[in-house]
Order: sequence, then C-alpha cells, then structure tokens
Amino acid sequence: MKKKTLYIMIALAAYCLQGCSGFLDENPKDQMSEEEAFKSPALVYLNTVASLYTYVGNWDGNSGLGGGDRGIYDLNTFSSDEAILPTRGGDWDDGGLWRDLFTHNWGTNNALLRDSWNYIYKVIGIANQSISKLEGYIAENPEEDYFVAYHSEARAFRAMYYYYLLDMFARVPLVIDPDIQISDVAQSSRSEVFAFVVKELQESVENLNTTHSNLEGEYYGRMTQPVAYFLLAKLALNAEVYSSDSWWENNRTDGKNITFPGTNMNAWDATVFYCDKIAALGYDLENSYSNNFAIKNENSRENIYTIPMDPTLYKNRIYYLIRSRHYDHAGAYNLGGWNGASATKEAVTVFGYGTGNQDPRFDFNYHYGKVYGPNGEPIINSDAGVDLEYFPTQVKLSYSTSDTYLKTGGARMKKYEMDTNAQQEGVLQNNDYVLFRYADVLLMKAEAKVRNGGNGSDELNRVRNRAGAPEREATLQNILDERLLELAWEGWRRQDLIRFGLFNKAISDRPATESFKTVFAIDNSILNLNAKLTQNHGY
Amino acid sequence: MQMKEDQKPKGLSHQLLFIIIGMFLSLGAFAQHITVNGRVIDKDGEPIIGASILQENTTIGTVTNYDGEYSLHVPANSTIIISYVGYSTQTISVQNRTTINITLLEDTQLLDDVIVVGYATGSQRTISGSVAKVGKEDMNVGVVLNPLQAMKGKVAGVNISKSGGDPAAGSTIRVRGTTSLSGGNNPLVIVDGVFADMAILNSLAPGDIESFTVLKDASETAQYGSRGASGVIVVNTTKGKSGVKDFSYDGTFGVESVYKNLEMLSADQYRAAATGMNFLDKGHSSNFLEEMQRTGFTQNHRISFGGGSTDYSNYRVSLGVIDQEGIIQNSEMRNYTLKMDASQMMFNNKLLMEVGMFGSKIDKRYVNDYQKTFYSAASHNPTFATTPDSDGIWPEDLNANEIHNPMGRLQINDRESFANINAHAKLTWSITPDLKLSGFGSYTFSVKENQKYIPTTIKAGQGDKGEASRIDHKNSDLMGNLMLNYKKTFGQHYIDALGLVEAQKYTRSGFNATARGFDTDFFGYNNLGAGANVKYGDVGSYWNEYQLLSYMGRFNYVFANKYIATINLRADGSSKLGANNKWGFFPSGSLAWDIAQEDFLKNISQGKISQMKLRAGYGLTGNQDAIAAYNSLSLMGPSGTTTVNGAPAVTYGFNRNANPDLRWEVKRMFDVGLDMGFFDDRLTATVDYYMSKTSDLLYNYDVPVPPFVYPTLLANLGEMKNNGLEVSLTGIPLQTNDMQLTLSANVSYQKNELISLNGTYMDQELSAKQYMNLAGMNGAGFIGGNNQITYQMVGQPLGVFYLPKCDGLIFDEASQSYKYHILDIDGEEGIDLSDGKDRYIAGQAMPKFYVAGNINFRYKNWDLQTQLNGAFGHKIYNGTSLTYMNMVQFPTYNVLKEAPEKNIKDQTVTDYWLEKGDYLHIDYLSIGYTLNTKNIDWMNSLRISASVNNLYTFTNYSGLSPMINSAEVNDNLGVDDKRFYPLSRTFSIGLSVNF
Repeated sequence: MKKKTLYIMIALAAYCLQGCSGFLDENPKDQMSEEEAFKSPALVYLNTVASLYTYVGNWDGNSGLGGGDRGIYDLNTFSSDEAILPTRGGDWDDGGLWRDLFTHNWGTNNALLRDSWNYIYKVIGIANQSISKLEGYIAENPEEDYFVAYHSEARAFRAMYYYYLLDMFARVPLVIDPDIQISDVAQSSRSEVFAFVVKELQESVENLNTTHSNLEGEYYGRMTQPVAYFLLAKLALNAEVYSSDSWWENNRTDGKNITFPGTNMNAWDATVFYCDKIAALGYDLENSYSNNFAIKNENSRENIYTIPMDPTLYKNRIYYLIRSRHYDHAGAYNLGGWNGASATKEAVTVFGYGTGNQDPRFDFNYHYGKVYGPNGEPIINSDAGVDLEYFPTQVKLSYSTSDTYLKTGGARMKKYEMDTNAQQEGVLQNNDYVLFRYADVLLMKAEAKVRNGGNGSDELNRVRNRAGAPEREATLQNILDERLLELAWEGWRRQDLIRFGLFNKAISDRPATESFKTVFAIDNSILNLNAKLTQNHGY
Repeated sequence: MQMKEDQKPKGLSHQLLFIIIGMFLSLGAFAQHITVNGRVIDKDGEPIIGASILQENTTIGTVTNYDGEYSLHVPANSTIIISYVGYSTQTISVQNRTTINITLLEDTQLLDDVIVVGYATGSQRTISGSVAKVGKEDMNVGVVLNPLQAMKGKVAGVNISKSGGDPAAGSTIRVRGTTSLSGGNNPLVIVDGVFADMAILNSLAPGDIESFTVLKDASETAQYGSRGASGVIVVNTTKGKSGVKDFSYDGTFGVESVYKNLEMLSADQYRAAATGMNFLDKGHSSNFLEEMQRTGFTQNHRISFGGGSTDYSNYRVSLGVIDQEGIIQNSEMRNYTLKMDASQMMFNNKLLMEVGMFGSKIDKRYVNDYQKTFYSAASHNPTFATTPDSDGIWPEDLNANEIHNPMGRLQINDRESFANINAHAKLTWSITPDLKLSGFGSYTFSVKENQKYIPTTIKAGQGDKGEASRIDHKNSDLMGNLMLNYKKTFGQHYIDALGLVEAQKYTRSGFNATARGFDTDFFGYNNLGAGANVKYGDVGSYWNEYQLLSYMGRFNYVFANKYIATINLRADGSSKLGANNKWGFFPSGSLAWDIAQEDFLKNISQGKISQMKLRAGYGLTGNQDAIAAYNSLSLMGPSGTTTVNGAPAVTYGFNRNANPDLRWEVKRMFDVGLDMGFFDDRLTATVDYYMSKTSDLLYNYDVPVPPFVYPTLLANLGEMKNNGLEVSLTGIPLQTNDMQLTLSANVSYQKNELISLNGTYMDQELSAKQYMNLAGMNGAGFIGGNNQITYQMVGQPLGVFYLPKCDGLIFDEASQSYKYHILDIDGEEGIDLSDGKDRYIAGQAMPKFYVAGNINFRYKNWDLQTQLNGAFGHKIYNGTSLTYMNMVQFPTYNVLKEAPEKNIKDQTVTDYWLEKGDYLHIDYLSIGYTLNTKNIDWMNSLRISASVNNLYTFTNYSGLSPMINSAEVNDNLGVDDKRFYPLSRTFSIGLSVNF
C-alpha cells in the first residue's frame, strides 16, 4: 500500500517535471520583446529615432535639455551674472544649494551635477542603442536609404548631447558602443571631445532634412539640418574654449589660429560659414520679439530648435515662470508661484533699468514694479496688505526674515507669455520651449566677424532694430551686452561669459572665483562608481 | 500555558479545546448495556467541562457538562477513555459500575499540544527548531482590530509596530529584524494552509484566529524555501467542534480621544510675536490642529455558530464587522469579515474532507498625505477661518507655499477598498493509520481599489480644476500541493516523514485612470468622464504572472523522547528568475536534546526541572519578493510620447537595465536555543541566540552611467548580517483556586550590519556608493541641499544617523538670533555639510532592544490584564521641532509656543534635534468579569470587560510620540518630520456571550 502510494507520488512528480516543463516560462503581455518592437519599418523609425525625442523635454526634476527645476538650465543660468535664486528667509534656503551655485561653490557632491550627467548619458546610451540597431539594418538592407537618414539623425542627435557635456564637464568619456564594459569607459580630453562632436555633426549634417523643425509637421521637434548647423556654429564660436585642455590657465589659442576641424577655415570664418548656412535655409527675425515666446509660437520664422509643449500630448514641463513669480502674483491667475528666481543687479544695469535708456526688451523679459491681475486690477501683496510690487535693484543673495524686500526684491521672469490654461500650476504650458533661435545666429556672426577683425554692426543692429533699441557699434562688449539683452533667461549666459573670459569676475554678492570653475566638477558619486574616471582640474 | 483555563470563560474553552478521537465501530455491540453516570474533576475538585468520555474502540461517546457531569450508555463490560487537553488520559473498565467519578491529573509537561509547524504538525516533544505559538488565550485583549494587534508583543523577536493612530494605516511586522534591502521583509503568512500576505492577514477577524505559530529560524522556515527568509507566520483559524453546537457573540465599543497635541502659537500669541513684521491677519482665532480632530469611535461585532456530530463532521460560520472612525475627521476603516469551514470523515474514517472559505471587504478613508496635512495644520496662519468662504472656496495663505488650508485638505476624498475571497479544500486519505496522503488546493482572488478626488475648492485641486483618479489591482493566486506523510512510533523511536510537491501561480493585473478639469465637484471620482482633461500617462494598465514549482521533503526523528532531529529539504523553481538560475535548493537541519528526561538531571532536580531542551539548527532560505515578474527579461514598454509625422505617438524602449543573471537572495541562519521549565512549568523560559547572513543581496545598485543607461541595476551582490538574542519568561508566582497571577515578559536584542554592497556582475566590479541616503527633511526651505538624515552605509547597521555635530546654540549678531553652532570635525578647513565632510555617525534608527511584558491577575470571577511594549537603544530625529522652532519661516509659517523666546533662526540639519528614542508604552489595561453561568442552562458563558488602550508612554523623547517609524527601511526611517497622526486613547467596553 505504502509503496503503491509512493509510486503514485513519484509518477505525479515525474509527470509534473515533464508536463509542467513549460510551467516556469514567462509570457509577458504588457511588455514586448525586442523582436516585436522592430517588426516593421514604421516601428523601426518609432523605436530608434522618434523615441530619442521623448527625452529632450523635462519630465521630472532634472531631465530635459531645458532642464526641470534641478538641471542643466539651472547650472548654466544661476552660476552666471544674469539670474539669481535668492534665499528669502528660510524660503529657498534648500541647504544652501542656490547660494552655492551663485557663488561657484557647487562642490563635488552636488545632485544637480550628478543628475545632469546621468540624464545626458542616459540619452546618449539610448542613442547608442538606436545607432547600433540602425547600423545593423543598413548592413542588412543597403538599398533602403531611409535607414541612412535615420542613422544620421540619431548620430547628430547624440552629438548635440555630447556638445552639452563638452560645454559643462569638458573631459568626458566618449561612449558610442552600447555594449561597452565599465572598464573601457575612460575620459577623453576636452579637445578630443570637441573634435568628436564636430566630426559627428559634419558627417551627418548633409543627410539631414532641411525643414525648420520648430514647425508642426513631419519634422516637428526633430534634429534637422539647421539644428546641426546651429550646433556647428556654436562649436566654432567657442572653439578657443573647447580646444583648450588647460582651461584654468590663460593660454587659449586665438581663434584666428585655430583651424576648425574638418575644414580649412579658422574658427571665426567657420562660425560665419555655419551661420550663413542657417540663413540660407530661410530663417529671419520675427517682427515682434515676443512672437517667439507666445503661447502659440510654433510658426515662428526665427526659432530653430524648440521642445514641443502641449499639456495633454507631450507633458513636457517648464518651471521658469512658476519658480519666479510671487505667490500672490500666481494666485491672481490661479497658477502656481514659488517666488524665487530674479534678475541680478548686473543684468538690471545692462538693461538700463531706471535710466532714460531702458532697453525695450526689459518689459518683454521681466516683471517689475507693480503687477496686475487678469482684469488689469493691481495684485494685492497679501502679507503686507499693499499692492504687490517687484523691486529690481533690491535683489540680493540672501534676505533676512525682517528684510522689507524679503519677498519682493528682484525683477521676475516674464519671457514666455503666461498661458492661463496651463496645467499643473502652470508647468504644463502650450508655449514651445525655445532652445535655439536665429537672433542668436546673427549675434554669433557679429561676434565672429569682430573677433576676426571685421565689422559685425550690421548683424548686431538687425537684432537691436527689431527690438526697437537704438543702434550700437559692434564692439565685443556691446555684443556681450546684447546677448544678455536679447537672450535673457535662455540659458546661454555661462557659456558667453566663459568665452569672454568674464565668468570668474567679481559681481554683487560674489567675489572673484578661480578660473577652473569654468568647467563643472564631476560629482563624486560618479567618480566612485568608475575608478577610471578622474576629477576635473582644481576640484 | 496554564493561564488559559482561568482567563477564558469555561464555555468557550470547552469548544475551543475539545477534541474527539476517531474510533472504529464497537466490537461489543451485542453486550448488555448499562448507563454510567459520573463527574470529572481536577485535582482541586473543580469540574472539568467538556472532557471526552468514549467507549474504547468505538465512536460512542459524550462530553461532560458545565458541572463536569456525564452520562453514557455502554456495554457493562466495556472500557471507557476519559480525556481532556492538558490532562493525562485515563482508561477505566466499567465492570458493571453505574457511577464512575474521575479525577483527571494535569499532564505536567503539557507538551503534547498540537503545533502546526508549516506543512507538518508536531508538538513540543518533536520540535527541534525555534517555533513560538500564540494561542487564543495568549492574545491581546481590549480594542483589537486586526490580527497583528492580537499578537503584538507576544513573541520575542517578532516586532510589530505602527506609527500613529490612523485607523486606515497598517502595522509593520519584522521577524528577527530586516534582512533584505529590497523588500520581501514581511514574513510569509500561511492561513489554514493557504499562502497569503499581510493584506490578507490584516483582513481576518482577530476573533476567528485560534493560534499563530511563528517559525523564526531557518531550520523550519526552510520548509518554505524561497519565501521563508523573513520568517513564517502560520495562522490556524477556529473550526467547528464535534459533539457540541454553539452560538456566540463578541463585541467591543469604544470612544477615542487625542491625548497629546503640539502646542503652536495661538492666534493672539501669533499676532503678538509677529508685531512689526509683514503678515496677513484675517481676524480669526483658529486652532487648526484641534479643529480637524473629533471624538473617534470604534466598534467590533462578531457572531459565530458551529458544531458537529460525534462521528466526525463539523462546520463553523463566523460573520463580523470592525468599524473605526479615527480622531481626525474623515479618516475611517471598516472591515466586514466572513469565514466558513466544514469537514467530514467518509469511508470508515479513511477519508477526511475539509473545505474552507474566508472573505472580507475593508473600506478605508485616508488622511491624504500625512505630512502635507499635519504640517499644514500645525503651521498654518492661525488668523484664518476654519470654514470655506461663501462660494465654498477654502481660503489659502498663498505666501505659505508649502502648506495648504488644513481643513480644505480634509476634503480630499481618498479611499481604498480591499476585497478578497479565498476557497480552499483538502482531502486526506489515511492509507494506513500511519500513512496519509493529502491533496490541497486553494484559490484567492482579491481586488484593491483606490479612489481619490481632489476638489476644485482647495489649493491642491485648483490648478488642475479638480482631479479624480481610480486605480484597480486584481490578484488571483492559485496553489495546489500533494503531500504524503508517515508518522510512526517504534518502541523508543518516533519518525515523521513528509514529502510534498507544490505548484503556485500568481496573476496580477490592474488599471488606472486620472481625469482633471472638472467644472463641478458633484461627481467626485464616480464619473471620470466628467473631467475635460485626460493626458498621456493618465491611463494605464498592466498584467503579469509568475509561477513557482516546488518539491519538499521533511524528516523528523525522536529517540526516547530525548533526542530530536529534523531535516528539511526544499527545491523551488521560479519563473521570475534568469533562465540559468530558476532553481534554488534550500536545506536545513536541527537537533534538540531534552536534558530534563535524562536520569542524571532528574536526580539532581528532584522534579523541580520539568523541561530543559537544548536546540540548535541551521538552514538556508530565500527571498524572491524583491524581484518582479519579467525582471530578468529584456523587454520594451512605452517610453514616452513625441510627434511622428506631426501627430503624437508613443515610443517603446527599455525602461531599466535588464539583469539576465538575477538569482534568489539567500539567507543562512544558525540558531541555538534552550527551553526551560521549572516547578511543573509554573516558570518557563526560552532563550534563543541566532546569527544570520544574507548573501547575494538583491539591491538596486548604483551603476555607472555610462556604460549603463539607467543609474541603477537590480543585482545580487553584497551581504548583510543579523544576530540577536531572545529571552522569554512566563511565571505564575501565585496560584490558588480563587486567585492567579501570571507574569510574562520577553526581550529581544538585535544587531544588524551591512557587510558589503559590492561584487562582480557579469565580470564587472560594481559597488554601491558610500553614503546612501534613506530619509531627510521636507518642507519650506528643505528642498535640496544637505538635509539628509538617515543613511545606509557599509559596515553600519541599516539606518544610521549621519549628521553635522552641533554643540549648542550661538548668538548671531547680524540676525539678532540664535544659530546652531556646528563643529568642524573633518580636519579640513571650513564647515562643509556634505556627505563625507563635517558629519559623523550619531546613532542608529532601529532599536537595539525590544521589550514586552504582560501582567494577568485573576481573582474569582474578576480578571485584570495589562500589556507593555517598549523599545530601547535607538534615536529619533525630531524634525518636527527643527521646523517648528525655526523663526526664519515665521510668520509665514506658525511656530511652537516656546519658539519666539528661544529665537532660533536656523533650519540647518544637525544633531541638535537628535534625541534618544527609548520608550515603554502601556498598550492597554483591561478588567473583566466572567459571570457564573453554572445555573443557567441556556447560556454557556458571559464575560464583560472594560479597557483603556494607549494608556501611557514613558519616554524622554520631546516630540509627540516616540512611536514613529523605527522599523521599516523607507524615506522616513527614524525621522519624525511633521507627519505624525496623533495617537488616541481608547476607552472601550466589551461583551462576549456564548450559548
């Protein structure tokens, strides 16, 4: 009896091993295999090229080329002399994060540095997967030329991300193989990274479509020819900086003597060359400065590269307005407000605030003085029981609780038209986020011409005329000032100051800083994970 | 163990403990019959109720009544067997006598109480592992709303804690501490053989539970292989008893009130302190903390009936409702429970058929986001009204951006309902009296539904014009096993061998949707179509499934009632793991020696030592709960939206770093213990020491980007160590007919250390970062920066405080206020508060010692019981005081009464607010009266009781309560930061009656 039962048990167990051999297999239904995801040409495009663009905008705190509220944009803006995030009593104290950024004491344990690095390399890693996949398709289907176009687009896209690394971190690992091992990841010098980015863009730019990518349609938000040329122009304009492997010493090679890689032009001629390429693709200044930042700005003739924004479709977010406006100012429009970011004293001075020659763009870019609600009524400062007023010259790094201007010091960001239908307190708005635009191209050209010994007044004054500002001579100082006036809050100021050698100068609330600070530190947590990586000079 | 007779009403006890032993048909059916009468008493002359009287080798029998009397018609020459649990069985020849009075003697060792040890059943005599049983008589009394509360503090090494008094919040349970970093730290729960989880356990009515058996060490948890690493709790529910039928009601009713609140500045004090500063005075005088509170109610009702025939069939049904309305408005919990069991013997008692069902529905309403709500309530400008304006809009102080109108926040309708039903059946075929084959099958279906509506009239809902969301999770668990069990005694030898094959299948699916843009709050979450705005990502669903296939063998051997050996072998295959790592093998073994049975000790002890069992065991168990289905596969899912040809499109991508090499996390545990009994077990003591080491630690390791795309990778690296000492004592210093005093206490010491978090993955060296942050501060001015408090570091226990060192306050001339004076301790010039700089390890967040004690005193029909729980050796970061003592945010944010005088204008996180967390808490005090029902023939028992729960806390901690989260590794471990749902003191009365 016992034996019989034992046999039954063994038989059952054996049956289970046999019959249930598939029992431990997994059959996912809510996720798919790679094979499924690349079944058709349409899916190949979707999952190699289109998928890259989902990472350009901001979805969480630190992602996006425009940054969230803790990302690339913040590093490039609040470290400059253009904008400041003051500590207002305990508000915006945040453990000294913003003060440290402003005073160039960001240190080597900094979440913004870590997360920006991880974000950029994540996108590069995904681009590497796409590029490698597409190389496989090209090898298998040499007759299908659309794979080549996809491949070039993904390469140029990846080069754009390397351009940000080059600008911010200088010495970074050039990773192009998705299957690379940790032990093979080591830094290249800044000049090598520079040469790599230039080469990647030059090799792919001719295969890119020429459509203006800010326009809604097939190429909306994509890497097209003008975007790649814009990046090449930036690379040429900053060639002095990018080709130097000892940025902490004042021994840059003059741009006149730098042969721009892949060309026989010097850096300034190359800048002009690429700027002209862009102009030839049909860009022009908008009649009105504010058109570029309107709720409906997709049809701008001036915007070159934008992040498509639509609260329902793409969920890309923008924090600049919410972070800047006062609580009551926001409340009047039923939007969020964090009462933070302001223009610095230096910026206000360049704008000529309070003088007879106030630049017309001050009104486009900043809220100052009394502000008004949707029906034109003055907004009440609920704390003080008086009309809310911003005081541009009362800005400072840190306010004590008893300071009169605790909550009202500083001019506030106004650049993008306020979208009262924006969602999630206003961070999901309809205005496309402008990364690159043609006014910048004109100013780059003006600067390159001047640096090359020529005259850039024509380009400079086209920009000034459009804004309704009186003409100026194209001196380097005037061009730098113009870049502040025209491109306020657009994320260029750190790069511009470094190019002009002024990033480390003393300004209000900040003594002069060491020259190695023109390149950010690599966060310690990143260094700890890969012994081959070394810290940037000076940190 | 002896307390049970006195503590519980006799009527209940007899149903609970009465067992009929199955017998074959009478051989003497034609003999002359007589009626035997008699009385069964104990050595003190007290009647024994429910003792079983059986004619030998038949099923003819009866039980004694409430006076211990019986009457049985049997052949005049037959033999009767008198038995009662806890007493030595007697066999008596009738020999024509018509009156037989019997005095049963207590079984001095009480060792034959059946204990369910996982799949097996045994007794103290046959167990060699560390196993603790909590019977009904040992469970907590007073307001007991879930099974965890019923066993809290009863088993050394099992820590059950709950932070705050929210009826909707659950408890955390840890068996011998935290052994995994990635989840799976909850013990496995087995309810009547069904694999369940904490959600199902919490849905049971505590009154339906007959016993908990906690398997603590690997020598027995290895029976559950890949799921046993965090301990196993085996729950046996109350079944029907053969031979009696009964109907009973249990109920409690209680009122709750807050007993401690934060003392913030009143409106007048606020005005006075803010004189000369800009602030908004709305003219009211409000105390938001008190305004949002109310008197809470709790009630608990359960009816049950059951019974059975003497030839072995029985049934039991129980219906109950548990209802609690919390002391914060709009927070509540209601649990409806149903349980049914039936069993029957067939075919000459060869086949036992058992069927059971249990189901429940728990409806909860949460206080949405504790921190936001309680932070708002404490620090809101007190000159605001506590009511909405005439349009129904709640007034908001826009300057206080991090908080909302607290009364408005209570309008968020945040509900959860959890419904589950289980059906299980078991067939046991007794092939021979020693050999049994059983088949068990179980199916559980559960649905958890979360519904939330944020109205348009409050700050949280204004930006998006209301937000309604619904999330459904559906689980369906199917399991079955076949088990062959052989038990036999040969002379001095006893063997118990068991073989098992088992299959489990878990299906998980769900759906979620969110809509915004409502023009009316009428619909709430009931009609998502009423919202204008549904974005990409607002709708989603999932489906996944995983399977386990297992083989298990267990061999238990006892020689001469002295030497015990047990071996468990289990092999588990799991679908979730990498193709080459699907199978895991989990062996264990244990040995025990009952020295008290040895003559040499008997000679020395002269009967004073009733038990002296030395145990030692070692085993392997696994943890797979941290791995989700498909984690080892490289799969693509939605990665975002973009435009394709001008139209929005969803793209697909890899959303994590895949690890095809995923394995079980393995825990090795060694346990040595000693069970002692003295003076006929009037004093018992158990001491256990254990060491465990978790290796192949599953963790989301930080990996370098590049080459990885995502910054973390779930991998098996690293090691963690736990060891501890557990002592439990129970003593009965006083025992007479009228009076008994029982004292019990247990202490457990735990030490945890994270040994390493690095290793080789796919030939690449990976290591986690040095300072892994767990918890930090939140709120105005705490966003980013060096506001982290508890960390996880290699070489340290899980959850250590790593803080700047402050030696006191220093007056700052510039701001005319005090600041925290921080010491430069890293040797580098200047103060740097970042990790690795001016910080030090300032203590641990998890207690080193847990202590529990129970005092139970009975005098005649009255009884008094109190339970204490305490924890020692840990610290608490008082982030609430750091925030509310800081005048920098004042008057935008209100402060504590003493804050203006102290004049601190600093919110730097330092060790200034790190305090000792030691406490001893009186959980409850309960007094009961058991009615003498001897002369009432329609009633078996009646007991009334009155209790106070949360009587008092002894502590030096200055915050609201030291009972914050000190157990669960999450983002608030050890940090008391403005999120505490106040504890309530509950006054309750209870009634249990049995007919």
